[in-house]
Amino acid sequence: MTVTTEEQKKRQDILEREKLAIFQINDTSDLQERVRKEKAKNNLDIVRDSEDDRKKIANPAPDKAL
Amino acid sequence: MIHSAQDALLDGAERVLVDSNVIIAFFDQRHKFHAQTHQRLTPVYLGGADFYYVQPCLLEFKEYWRRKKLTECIELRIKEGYYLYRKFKKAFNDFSEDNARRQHLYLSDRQLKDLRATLENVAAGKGVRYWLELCQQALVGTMSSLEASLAQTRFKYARFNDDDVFPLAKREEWPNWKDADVIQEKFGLAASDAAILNMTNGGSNIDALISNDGDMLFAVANGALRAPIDIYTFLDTSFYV
Repeated sequence: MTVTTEEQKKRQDILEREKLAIFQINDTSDLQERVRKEKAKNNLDIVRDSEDDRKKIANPAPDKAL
Repeated sequence: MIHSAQDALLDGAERVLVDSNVIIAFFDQRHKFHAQTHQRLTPVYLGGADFYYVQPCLLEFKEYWRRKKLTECIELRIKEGYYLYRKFKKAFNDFSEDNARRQHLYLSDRQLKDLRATLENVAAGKGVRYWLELCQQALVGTMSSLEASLAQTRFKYARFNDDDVFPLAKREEWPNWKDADVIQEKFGLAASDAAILNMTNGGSNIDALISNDGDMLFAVANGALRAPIDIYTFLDTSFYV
Protein backbone atom coordinates (compact mmCIF):
# COMPACT_ATOMS: atom_id res chain seq x y z
CA MET A 1 0.00 0.00 0.00
CA THR A 2 1.43 3.39 -0.98
CA VAL A 3 0.79 6.33 1.29
CA THR A 4 1.27 9.81 -0.15
CA THR A 5 3.35 12.40 1.68
CA GLU A 6 0.23 14.46 2.23
CA GLU A 7 -1.58 11.48 3.73
CA GLN A 8 1.47 10.71 5.91
CA LYS A 9 1.39 14.27 7.23
CA LYS A 10 -2.35 14.02 7.93
CA ARG A 11 -1.84 10.80 9.85
CA GLN A 12 1.06 12.23 11.87
CA ASP A 13 -1.19 15.16 12.83
CA ILE A 14 -3.90 12.77 13.99
CA LEU A 15 -1.35 10.88 16.11
CA GLU A 16 -0.34 14.15 17.78
CA ARG A 17 -3.97 15.11 18.37
CA GLU A 18 -4.85 11.76 19.88
CA LYS A 19 -2.02 11.99 22.43
CA LEU A 20 -3.81 14.99 23.89
CA ALA A 21 -7.19 13.22 23.76
CA ILE A 22 -5.77 10.25 25.66
CA PHE A 23 -4.12 12.47 28.23
CA GLN A 24 -7.36 14.40 28.76
CA ILE A 25 -9.65 11.44 29.31
CA ASN A 26 -7.19 9.79 31.71
CA ASP A 27 -6.60 12.97 33.64
CA THR A 28 -8.36 12.83 37.02
CA SER A 29 -7.50 16.35 38.22
CA ASP A 30 -11.04 17.64 37.49
CA LEU A 31 -12.53 14.76 39.44
CA GLN A 32 -10.08 15.28 42.31
CA GLU A 33 -11.00 18.94 42.43
CA ARG A 34 -14.75 18.16 42.46
CA VAL A 35 -14.31 15.56 45.18
CA ARG A 36 -12.35 18.03 47.32
CA LYS A 37 -14.77 20.91 46.77
CA GLU A 38 -17.91 18.90 47.49
CA LYS A 39 -16.62 17.10 50.58
CA ALA A 40 -17.78 19.66 53.11
CA LYS A 41 -21.30 19.77 51.65
CA ASN A 42 -21.56 16.00 51.49
CA ASN A 43 -20.46 15.28 55.04
CA LEU A 44 -22.44 18.21 56.42
CA ASP A 45 -25.64 16.94 54.76
CA ILE A 46 -25.18 13.50 56.24
CA VAL A 47 -24.42 14.79 59.73
CA ARG A 48 -27.34 17.23 59.63
CA ASP A 49 -29.73 14.54 58.41
CA SER A 50 -28.50 12.14 61.04
CA GLU A 51 -29.28 14.67 63.75
CA ASP A 52 -32.74 15.21 62.26
CA ASP A 53 -33.29 11.48 62.30
CA ARG A 54 -32.14 11.25 65.89
CA LYS A 55 -34.58 13.99 66.85
CA LYS A 56 -37.39 12.19 65.06
CA ILE A 57 -36.59 9.00 66.93
CA ALA A 58 -36.40 10.83 70.28
CA ASN A 59 -39.59 12.83 69.59
CA PRO A 60 -41.81 10.85 67.21
CA ALA A 61 -44.77 12.57 65.56
CA PRO A 62 -47.95 12.13 67.69
CA ASP A 63 -49.70 9.75 65.29
CA LYS A 64 -46.64 7.51 65.22
CA ALA A 65 -46.01 7.56 68.98
CA LEU A 66 -46.62 4.29 70.74
CA MET B 1 -7.36 -17.51 10.79
CA ILE B 2 -6.16 -16.17 14.15
CA HIS B 3 -2.77 -14.43 14.30
CA SER B 4 -0.73 -12.64 16.90
CA ALA B 5 -1.11 -8.88 16.60
CA GLN B 6 2.68 -8.83 16.15
CA ASP B 7 2.38 -10.83 12.91
CA ALA B 8 3.79 -8.89 9.94
CA LEU B 9 0.67 -9.81 7.96
CA LEU B 10 -1.22 -7.10 9.82
CA ASP B 11 1.01 -4.47 8.16
CA GLY B 12 -0.66 -5.24 4.84
CA ALA B 13 -4.21 -4.76 6.10
CA GLU B 14 -6.21 -1.87 4.62
CA ARG B 15 -9.48 -1.78 6.56
CA VAL B 16 -9.25 -3.02 10.11
CA LEU B 17 -12.20 -3.38 12.47
CA VAL B 18 -11.22 -3.08 16.11
CA ASP B 19 -13.11 -4.64 18.99
CA SER B 20 -14.08 -2.65 22.09
CA ASN B 21 -11.27 -4.15 24.16
CA VAL B 22 -8.69 -2.73 21.72
CA ILE B 23 -10.16 0.78 21.99
CA ILE B 24 -10.26 0.39 25.78
CA ALA B 25 -6.60 -0.71 25.96
CA PHE B 26 -5.67 2.11 23.58
CA PHE B 27 -7.27 4.74 25.83
CA ASP B 28 -6.78 3.48 29.36
CA GLN B 29 -3.21 4.23 30.39
CA ARG B 30 -3.51 1.74 33.27
CA HIS B 31 -4.52 -1.13 30.95
CA LYS B 32 -1.99 -3.97 30.63
CA PHE B 33 -2.10 -3.82 26.81
CA HIS B 34 -1.96 -0.01 26.56
CA ALA B 35 1.68 0.38 25.51
CA GLN B 36 1.64 -2.70 23.28
CA THR B 37 -1.47 -1.51 21.47
CA HIS B 38 0.12 1.85 20.66
CA GLN B 39 3.44 0.34 19.64
CA ARG B 40 1.81 -2.12 17.26
CA LEU B 41 -1.04 -0.10 15.75
CA THR B 42 0.98 3.04 14.99
CA PRO B 43 3.20 1.59 12.22
CA VAL B 44 0.15 -0.17 10.76
CA TYR B 45 -1.71 3.14 10.72
CA LEU B 46 1.23 5.07 9.24
CA GLY B 47 1.49 2.32 6.63
CA GLY B 48 -1.94 3.33 5.37
CA ALA B 49 -4.44 1.12 7.22
CA ASP B 50 -7.75 2.60 8.33
CA PHE B 51 -9.19 1.54 11.67
CA TYR B 52 -12.93 1.31 12.25
CA TYR B 53 -15.23 0.61 15.15
CA VAL B 54 -18.95 -0.04 15.17
CA GLN B 55 -21.69 1.09 17.52
CA PRO B 56 -21.64 -1.86 19.99
CA CYS B 57 -17.94 -1.02 20.61
CA LEU B 58 -18.83 2.54 21.55
CA LEU B 59 -21.38 1.25 24.07
CA GLU B 60 -18.87 -1.18 25.58
CA PHE B 61 -16.24 1.56 25.76
CA LYS B 62 -18.67 3.81 27.63
CA GLU B 63 -19.61 0.96 29.94
CA TYR B 64 -15.95 0.34 30.80
CA TRP B 65 -15.35 4.04 31.45
CA ARG B 66 -18.46 4.23 33.67
CA ARG B 67 -16.99 1.50 35.91
CA LYS B 68 -13.56 3.16 35.84
CA LYS B 69 -14.82 6.60 36.85
CA LEU B 70 -17.13 5.32 39.60
CA THR B 71 -14.31 3.21 41.05
CA GLU B 72 -11.88 6.14 40.95
CA CYS B 73 -14.42 8.48 42.51
CA ILE B 74 -15.10 6.16 45.46
CA GLU B 75 -11.34 5.70 45.95
CA LEU B 76 -10.89 9.48 45.97
CA ARG B 77 -13.78 9.92 48.41
CA ILE B 78 -12.08 7.50 50.81
CA LYS B 79 -8.75 9.29 50.39
CA GLU B 80 -10.39 12.67 51.07
CA GLY B 81 -12.12 11.38 54.21
CA TYR B 82 -15.71 11.43 52.99
CA TYR B 83 -18.38 9.93 55.20
CA LEU B 84 -19.15 6.39 53.99
CA TYR B 85 -22.04 4.24 55.17
CA ARG B 86 -20.74 1.23 57.05
CA LYS B 87 -22.15 -1.47 54.75
CA PHE B 88 -21.10 0.46 51.65
CA LYS B 89 -17.54 0.82 52.92
CA LYS B 90 -17.27 -2.83 53.88
CA ALA B 91 -18.59 -3.99 50.49
CA PHE B 92 -16.22 -1.63 48.65
CA ASN B 93 -13.20 -2.83 50.64
CA ASP B 94 -14.13 -6.48 50.07
CA PHE B 95 -14.57 -5.91 46.33
CA SER B 96 -11.30 -3.99 46.09
CA GLU B 97 -9.37 -6.80 47.77
CA ASP B 98 -10.98 -9.35 45.49
CA ASN B 99 -10.24 -7.26 42.39
CA ALA B 100 -6.62 -6.72 43.41
CA ARG B 101 -6.22 -10.48 43.76
CA ARG B 102 -7.73 -11.06 40.30
CA GLN B 103 -5.81 -8.12 38.78
CA HIS B 104 -9.07 -6.37 37.84
CA LEU B 105 -8.58 -2.62 37.76
CA TYR B 106 -12.15 -1.52 38.38
CA LEU B 107 -15.42 -2.57 40.01
CA SER B 108 -17.56 -4.85 37.87
CA ASP B 109 -21.16 -4.10 36.96
CA ARG B 110 -22.30 -6.71 39.52
CA GLN B 111 -20.17 -5.12 42.26
CA LEU B 112 -21.58 -1.67 41.46
CA LYS B 113 -25.13 -3.03 41.67
CA ASP B 114 -24.32 -4.63 45.04
CA LEU B 115 -22.77 -1.39 46.31
CA ARG B 116 -25.85 0.60 45.34
CA ALA B 117 -28.06 -1.99 47.03
CA THR B 118 -26.29 -1.33 50.36
CA LEU B 119 -27.57 2.26 50.16
CA GLU B 120 -31.17 1.57 49.24
CA ASN B 121 -32.24 0.81 52.79
CA VAL B 122 -30.57 3.83 54.35
CA ALA B 123 -33.21 5.93 56.11
CA ALA B 124 -35.22 8.76 54.64
CA GLY B 125 -33.91 8.40 51.08
CA LYS B 126 -30.45 9.51 52.16
CA GLY B 127 -28.80 6.45 50.65
CA VAL B 128 -30.46 7.05 47.30
CA ARG B 129 -29.35 10.68 47.39
CA TYR B 130 -25.84 9.59 48.32
CA TRP B 131 -25.70 7.32 45.25
CA LEU B 132 -27.08 9.99 42.91
CA GLU B 133 -24.55 12.52 44.17
CA LEU B 134 -21.73 10.01 43.72
CA CYS B 135 -22.82 9.34 40.10
CA GLN B 136 -23.06 13.05 39.37
CA GLN B 137 -19.64 13.68 40.84
CA ALA B 138 -18.00 10.76 39.02
CA LEU B 139 -19.68 10.84 35.65
CA VAL B 140 -20.81 14.35 34.79
CA GLY B 141 -19.80 15.12 31.18
CA THR B 142 -17.89 11.84 30.84
CA MET B 143 -19.92 10.08 28.17
CA SER B 144 -20.01 12.96 25.71
CA SER B 145 -16.30 13.64 26.24
CA LEU B 146 -15.53 9.99 25.43
CA GLU B 147 -17.16 10.33 22.03
CA ALA B 148 -15.37 13.62 21.43
CA SER B 149 -12.04 12.01 22.40
CA LEU B 150 -12.61 9.09 20.07
CA ALA B 151 -13.28 11.53 17.24
CA GLN B 152 -9.75 12.92 17.75
CA THR B 153 -8.12 9.56 17.11
CA ARG B 154 -7.24 7.24 14.25
CA PHE B 155 -10.42 5.21 14.84
CA LYS B 156 -13.33 5.96 12.54
CA TYR B 157 -16.91 5.27 13.43
CA ALA B 158 -18.38 2.94 10.78
CA ARG B 159 -22.13 3.22 10.55
CA PHE B 160 -24.16 0.26 9.41
CA ASN B 161 -25.21 2.23 6.32
CA ASP B 162 -21.65 3.20 5.43
CA ASP B 163 -21.35 1.64 2.00
CA ASP B 164 -17.61 2.38 1.72
CA VAL B 165 -16.88 -0.03 4.50
CA PHE B 166 -19.95 -2.19 4.15
CA PRO B 167 -20.75 -2.35 0.42
CA LEU B 168 -23.91 -4.37 0.99
CA ALA B 169 -25.09 -1.84 3.54
CA LYS B 170 -27.85 -0.45 1.38
CA ARG B 171 -29.23 -3.89 0.66
CA GLU B 172 -31.94 -5.08 2.96
CA GLU B 173 -30.35 -8.41 3.69
CA TRP B 174 -27.27 -6.94 5.39
CA PRO B 175 -26.31 -7.15 8.17
CA ASN B 176 -28.17 -10.39 8.66
CA TRP B 177 -28.88 -10.32 12.38
CA LYS B 178 -30.12 -13.90 12.25
CA ASP B 179 -26.49 -14.89 11.60
CA ALA B 180 -25.50 -13.02 14.76
CA ASP B 181 -28.19 -14.95 16.65
CA VAL B 182 -26.85 -18.23 15.28
CA ILE B 183 -23.28 -17.31 16.36
CA GLN B 184 -24.58 -16.40 19.81
CA GLU B 185 -26.61 -19.59 20.16
CA LYS B 186 -23.86 -21.85 18.89
CA PHE B 187 -20.94 -20.45 20.89
CA GLY B 188 -22.63 -18.77 23.85
CA LEU B 189 -21.14 -15.45 22.78
CA ALA B 190 -22.35 -12.16 24.30
CA ALA B 191 -24.88 -10.40 22.06
CA SER B 192 -22.64 -7.40 21.37
CA ASP B 193 -19.66 -9.65 20.51
CA ALA B 194 -21.80 -11.69 18.14
CA ALA B 195 -23.03 -8.45 16.52
CA ILE B 196 -19.47 -7.12 16.07
CA LEU B 197 -18.26 -10.42 14.64
CA ASN B 198 -21.23 -10.58 12.31
CA MET B 199 -20.25 -7.20 10.82
CA THR B 200 -17.29 -8.99 9.22
CA ASN B 201 -19.34 -11.99 8.15
CA GLY B 202 -19.51 -11.29 4.41
CA GLY B 203 -20.76 -8.04 2.89
CA SER B 204 -17.95 -5.89 4.23
CA ASN B 205 -14.66 -4.50 2.94
CA ILE B 206 -13.06 -5.22 6.30
CA ASP B 207 -9.98 -7.38 5.83
CA ALA B 208 -8.88 -7.74 9.45
CA LEU B 209 -10.34 -7.69 12.94
CA ILE B 210 -8.34 -7.08 16.11
CA SER B 211 -9.82 -8.43 19.32
CA ASN B 212 -8.63 -9.48 22.76
CA ASP B 213 -11.88 -11.22 23.58
CA GLY B 214 -11.27 -14.90 24.33
CA ASP B 215 -14.89 -15.84 23.62
CA MET B 216 -14.79 -14.18 20.22
CA LEU B 217 -11.50 -15.86 19.32
CA PHE B 218 -12.87 -19.21 20.45
CA ALA B 219 -15.93 -18.75 18.22
CA VAL B 220 -13.79 -17.80 15.20
CA ALA B 221 -11.36 -20.65 15.82
CA ASN B 222 -14.31 -23.02 15.74
CA GLY B 223 -15.89 -21.85 12.52
CA ALA B 224 -18.20 -18.99 13.53
CA LEU B 225 -17.60 -17.00 10.36
CA ARG B 226 -19.08 -17.94 7.02
CA ALA B 227 -16.43 -15.91 5.19
CA PRO B 228 -13.38 -15.97 7.48
CA ILE B 229 -11.11 -12.92 7.64
CA ASP B 230 -7.80 -12.48 9.44
CA ILE B 231 -8.24 -11.99 13.17
CA TYR B 232 -5.41 -10.55 15.27
CA THR B 233 -5.00 -10.50 19.01
CA PHE B 234 -2.63 -9.39 21.75
CA LEU B 235 -3.60 -12.51 23.72
CA ASP B 236 -1.64 -15.74 23.56
CA THR B 237 -2.81 -17.31 20.29
CA SER B 238 -1.73 -20.84 21.22
CA PHE B 239 -5.15 -21.37 22.83
CA TYR B 240 -6.97 -20.69 19.56
CA VAL B 241 -4.93 -22.25 16.76
